[in-house]
Amino acid sequence: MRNTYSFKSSISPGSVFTVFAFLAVMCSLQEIMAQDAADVLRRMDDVVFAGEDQTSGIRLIMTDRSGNERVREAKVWQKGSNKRLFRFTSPAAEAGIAFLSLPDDVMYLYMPAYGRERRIATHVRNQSFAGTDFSYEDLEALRYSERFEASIAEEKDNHYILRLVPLPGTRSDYSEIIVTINREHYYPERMKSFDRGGQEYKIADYRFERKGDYWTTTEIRMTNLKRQHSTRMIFDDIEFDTGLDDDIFTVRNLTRY
Amino acid sequence: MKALIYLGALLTLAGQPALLAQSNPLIFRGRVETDNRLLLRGENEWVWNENRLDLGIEKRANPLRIYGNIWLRHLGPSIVESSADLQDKGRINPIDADIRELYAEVYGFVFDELDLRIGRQRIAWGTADMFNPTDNLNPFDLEDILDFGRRMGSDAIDLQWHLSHQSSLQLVYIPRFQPASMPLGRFSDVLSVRAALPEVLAQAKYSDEIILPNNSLSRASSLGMRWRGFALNTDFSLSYTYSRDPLPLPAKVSIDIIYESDMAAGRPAVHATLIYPRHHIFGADLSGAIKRVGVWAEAALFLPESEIVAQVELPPHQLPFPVQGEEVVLKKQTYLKFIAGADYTTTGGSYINMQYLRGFIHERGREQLADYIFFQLNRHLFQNRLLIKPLSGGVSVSDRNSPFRNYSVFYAPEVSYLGVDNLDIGIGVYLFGGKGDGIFNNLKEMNMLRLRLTASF
Repeated sequence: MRNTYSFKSSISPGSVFTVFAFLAVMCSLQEIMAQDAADVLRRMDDVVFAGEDQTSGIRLIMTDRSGNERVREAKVWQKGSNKRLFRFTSPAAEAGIAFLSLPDDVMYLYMPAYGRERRIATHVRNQSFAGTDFSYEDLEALRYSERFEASIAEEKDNHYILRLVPLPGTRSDYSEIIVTINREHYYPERMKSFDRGGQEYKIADYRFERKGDYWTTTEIRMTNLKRQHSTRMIFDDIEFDTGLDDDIFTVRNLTRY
Repeated sequence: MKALIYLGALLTLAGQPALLAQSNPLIFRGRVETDNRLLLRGENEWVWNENRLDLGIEKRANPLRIYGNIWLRHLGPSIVESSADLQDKGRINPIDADIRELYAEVYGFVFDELDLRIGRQRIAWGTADMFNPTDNLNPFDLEDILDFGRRMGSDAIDLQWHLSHQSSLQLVYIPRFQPASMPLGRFSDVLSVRAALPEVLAQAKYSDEIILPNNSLSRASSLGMRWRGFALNTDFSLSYTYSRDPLPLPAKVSIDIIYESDMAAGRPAVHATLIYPRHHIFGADLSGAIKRVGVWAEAALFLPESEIVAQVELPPHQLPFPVQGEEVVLKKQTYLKFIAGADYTTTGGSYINMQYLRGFIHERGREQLADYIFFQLNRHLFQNRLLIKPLSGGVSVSDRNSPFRNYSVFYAPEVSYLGVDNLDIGIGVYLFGGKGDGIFNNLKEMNMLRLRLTASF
């Protein structure tokens, strides 16, 4: 009882004001930082999804823990930040296999051997895409700022380091992503992803280069820490703003092979 | 030989200067496959030996696309019965050529939204895996009884009007009738009319004749239309087909007693006359997702155009079993075949697929439809070098009232090596069993080991 009394008696109106003021400042700071983090993430999205549309060739080099390499080649068409068509061109056994990502989690897979497209459900999002270290989720063309809540984890001279967690209602197989963003140009340099159990899962290292008006990805090295396996995705023949028609991102076009 | 001529024609056409002048080159792609199966019992007899070159040839000259898919195969053992046959390489080393597809396609034909495809083609309808009750324009290719989903190409005119990015209307006209091909070799009786004879006639000598519809547009053509759409995050389609049943039904059955020189008593002989009746098929399918699970469903309502009554001719003398003068083979009443399935991939990477099917490909009429469940569990191992299918198979129940006396099962686990690009080597077994007259039980003497290899180029 004494202690309680003593505690109550030790709080003066001035100290209450100080505590509230401190909390208010902290909340505002946190809000400002969150706002900053969200802004940084939006700016990163603007760089990653630069241009009205983008076309490129892709070379996927998969390396296992023994150093053995396997190569896949593909072509990618992207429009805006939510339409992407990905079509393998080699090896022969996989040539023609295509993946179409559309808004609202709508995804189709086309396998020439079956002669028809297949709607794929979100259970494949965490699965390896054609044996690579990229999952279907990694290949979706969706802005991070619309799927993740960002907070500043650390600030360095040349980098922002953000912590991303999925927004409520967002389906992701990553519980958290730590992304290192170039402070000058706002492109991602590294993303470390954690699985739903909070374990380190994948690391993606990005290489960006200036192409005309845009900074663009020229290489992503995705390392799956669990599998001890990595895939380098090397981009070439990159073209921006060629006026890709919406017809490219349709099932009609997906099945044209 | 005919296929080789077609192949030559395709190459000539694709090599025309006007086409070669385009920047898109002539593309050859395909695969070499060998598929070998031997029985697990007795002397391990070979029951399947197929070596196939599956060749696809494509030429694009926008908006035109020309495509051909041809199989060149060595299929089965030597067919040598006399020394004269040894002078015929075709009998020593049976070769088979098959034009699977051969068509020309125009994107944006007359109107930007209209696509036209003419020639031999596969028109794949439905959303389910392998078993598609709404996929009825191409006849079944049942040559390999274990490859249930295989269809032959049909000579067709196919128009697709893309009403929007998510909606299209398809019209298909097939001027000629083409019957289904039936299982080969040791499997030949599995889906035959003979297999449907009463048990008392099981040992009868059997022969039949096929009456194909007149080769005229009015008698032999088929028509199909399909509207596809997207709503509530679900793809769906509605379809209608007016065609002939690709599997024959008996229109007349003659039963006689034959006496052979070494027989004191005669034995029955059955001669059937088989026809391909017309039917209307109203179909619907959908595919989407519930939570993270992929789901699909497909239903086809069949309406026979007329009742099929087989005339049964009795021998002039008494038979030791009752036989009616007429037998209704197929009533003029609707029957519904459908399938519903789901798939899911676990966080550990195992792929699970299950389907429930009502009505197998050869079952017609309400009374004949049986229930089937198919399941599959796949998992890649060793960094995708190995694919294992430890749970792959199906269960059928032909009589719901006594399922434990009328069931059949098949189990087909397989291990595939995928460690080299473009190479797939698989080894597995097919095991069949059950009670009653289920389709898989009819194969119970055929438990087999399978070794296959596919190399793509």
